[in-house]
Amino acid sequence: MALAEVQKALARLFTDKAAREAFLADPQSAAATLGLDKADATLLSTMAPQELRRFSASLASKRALDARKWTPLVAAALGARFGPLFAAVPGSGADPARQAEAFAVHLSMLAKQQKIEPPWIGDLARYEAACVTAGRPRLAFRVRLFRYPVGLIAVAVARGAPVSEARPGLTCGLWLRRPGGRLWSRLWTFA
Amino acid sequence: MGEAAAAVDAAVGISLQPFADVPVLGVGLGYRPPFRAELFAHRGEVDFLEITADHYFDASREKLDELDLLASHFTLIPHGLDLSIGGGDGIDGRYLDQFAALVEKLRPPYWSEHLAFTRAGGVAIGHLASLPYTEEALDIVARNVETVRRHIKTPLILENITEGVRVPGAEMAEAEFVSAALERSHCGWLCDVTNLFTNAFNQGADAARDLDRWPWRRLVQMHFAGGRIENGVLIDSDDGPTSPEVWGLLEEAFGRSHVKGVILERDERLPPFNDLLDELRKARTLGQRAGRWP
Repeated sequence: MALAEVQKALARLFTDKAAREAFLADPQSAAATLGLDKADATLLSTMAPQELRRFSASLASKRALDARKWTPLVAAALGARFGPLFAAVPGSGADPARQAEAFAVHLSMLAKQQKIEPPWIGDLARYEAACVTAGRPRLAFRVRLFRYPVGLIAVAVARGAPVSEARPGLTCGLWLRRPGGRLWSRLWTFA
Repeated sequence: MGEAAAAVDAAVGISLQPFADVPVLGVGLGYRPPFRAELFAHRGEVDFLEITADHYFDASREKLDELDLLASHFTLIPHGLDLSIGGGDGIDGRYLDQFAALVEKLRPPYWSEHLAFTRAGGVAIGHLASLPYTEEALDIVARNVETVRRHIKTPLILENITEGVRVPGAEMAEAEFVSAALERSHCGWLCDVTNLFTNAFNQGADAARDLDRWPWRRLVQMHFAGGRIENGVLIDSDDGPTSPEVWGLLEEAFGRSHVKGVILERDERLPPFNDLLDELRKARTLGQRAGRWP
């Protein structure tokens, strides 16, 4: 079989846990769903399972590591909880903006259900996701409402200062960019 | 140093001239935004920078301003992550166009990518995946490089990667595969010394003993950094100081090649900038001792 088909199967095995475990359990039965013929299924079945699982795990770790770079404030606020929380978000592709948005939705939902501390973490994640999206060169017009004063919280987190006592304060964020132009953004907090 | 390979090159009229013309670049850093201020404060100790090309594709005005600032002070070498030069699906046209535009903008002496595949069948793996060490994979690399060359005339160098997963069906060893891939595609070599050591370590081999097997006459640039051991496996995490073993290999490599530049590739857990400078000074001294630069 052509290398393209083998690589296609490998890409699935690296990134799709269900496909990977099915293949490791019974390569010949799983071969058809991966587009492999019998010979290639037999060949790939000689891959070391621990290598395959370790490499796949490293992909998830790398994804979380990249996400920390895109959302450094949320990463700083969550500390060691960042990795497990990020891993719980369904795959949203390789696009950092989509990943940040998906993570923000997840954290906002947890915050709303009071299942995560601090209570402003969802707002901070939505703020950073908006910044990531507005970091693109295309036309940007984004308005976000926040329950907490995310501007003050962001500054405090960036300085490593405690913000656990932050009180709610309705805040409006606006991001503007014309194509190829510079970003203009502002936050307004209403007392 | 690869006399047989040199004879083959001569017989088929292939020349290493594009790389002979590359100027000596010296000692540099893989650019990371967190150390930008300190980089400029110590710019006399950093000869050139390697930038992650992908970070400047589809980039905002602010990011392009950063690129212009770096380019006005340093020679920049664009280093790609997602060209998938060994991909059986071929080269992604949009990605290649973006890369070509960046190379055109920066006009570097060469640019670099990994000898790997990163996507297949519409799935983005998100990391560098090993190629099977087969004749078919060599043909695909050569074909893809030809496609790339039609868009980017600037010389290309390819980097050896760590083998996250060894793909079964190998018809040759890694060193022979890398050598053949470079010969057939007429590319230079970006030797990641840490990756070379990592693969040997994880397979229980002696990297220093096997150095003769690698294509040193094609060497243009080197990477070095530190990794860490997890559950008995050495990971190329690029997040620690360079190990004594890698320093030893680096010294050997200087003596076997006409390398043009070395890059400290520290990605994570960035230490105080002075620690990075210490490693650069050490690499500079090794290169001086081997006569690679003044």
